[in-house]
Amino acid sequence: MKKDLLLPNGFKKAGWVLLFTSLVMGAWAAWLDFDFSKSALLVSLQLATNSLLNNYIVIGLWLGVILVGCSRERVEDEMIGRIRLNALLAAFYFQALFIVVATLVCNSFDYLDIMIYNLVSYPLIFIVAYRWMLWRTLKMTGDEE
Amino acid sequence: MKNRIRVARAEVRMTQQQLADGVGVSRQTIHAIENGRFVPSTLLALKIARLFSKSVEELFALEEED
Repeated sequence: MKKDLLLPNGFKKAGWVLLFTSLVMGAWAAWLDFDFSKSALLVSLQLATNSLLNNYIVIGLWLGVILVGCSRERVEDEMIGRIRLNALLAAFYFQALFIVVATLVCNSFDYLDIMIYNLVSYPLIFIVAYRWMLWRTLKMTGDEE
Repeated sequence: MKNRIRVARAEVRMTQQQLADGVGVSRQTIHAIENGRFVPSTLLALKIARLFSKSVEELFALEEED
């Protein structure tokens, strides 16, 4: 029985491109305080409205993470599956802690800001945890015995 | 759970990569199993046992804490 919900390995590259471009744009948007009229480049090019760029950042980031994290590895096996599940669980715990602390500590518009970052923090934590766990496993393996 | 995969491999002069290819997993997985960091599923344990022409019990055994 070989049934799983993973995507083909070929999607991974497209996922990295989407993830990096949306991360760079997200960092830029955060630096501009999400007010794209502050960017002379965007205004002069009349490239996009706030909502279009915001949409690209959020959708691009989620789609990128799904393509990177949910595509098969070159050799996909049960240990990789276990690592992926552990990374999802780690991200879930971190996200829960993040929301609890933010709810206790932040109020009004600060809380709204936190929730905006919250839109993308879960997939980012998942992908960082997943790649780190994979890297650690690879590092532990060492040379052929 | 302890296992004798490394010994079984040595008996037939098989590398981790050859075993990995034989059962369709990565070499990292074989390494993790041999070092007790990963417990394989029943399916993988049966595949490994079949490759060495041994029973699962000859390769895998429970420890006291299991």
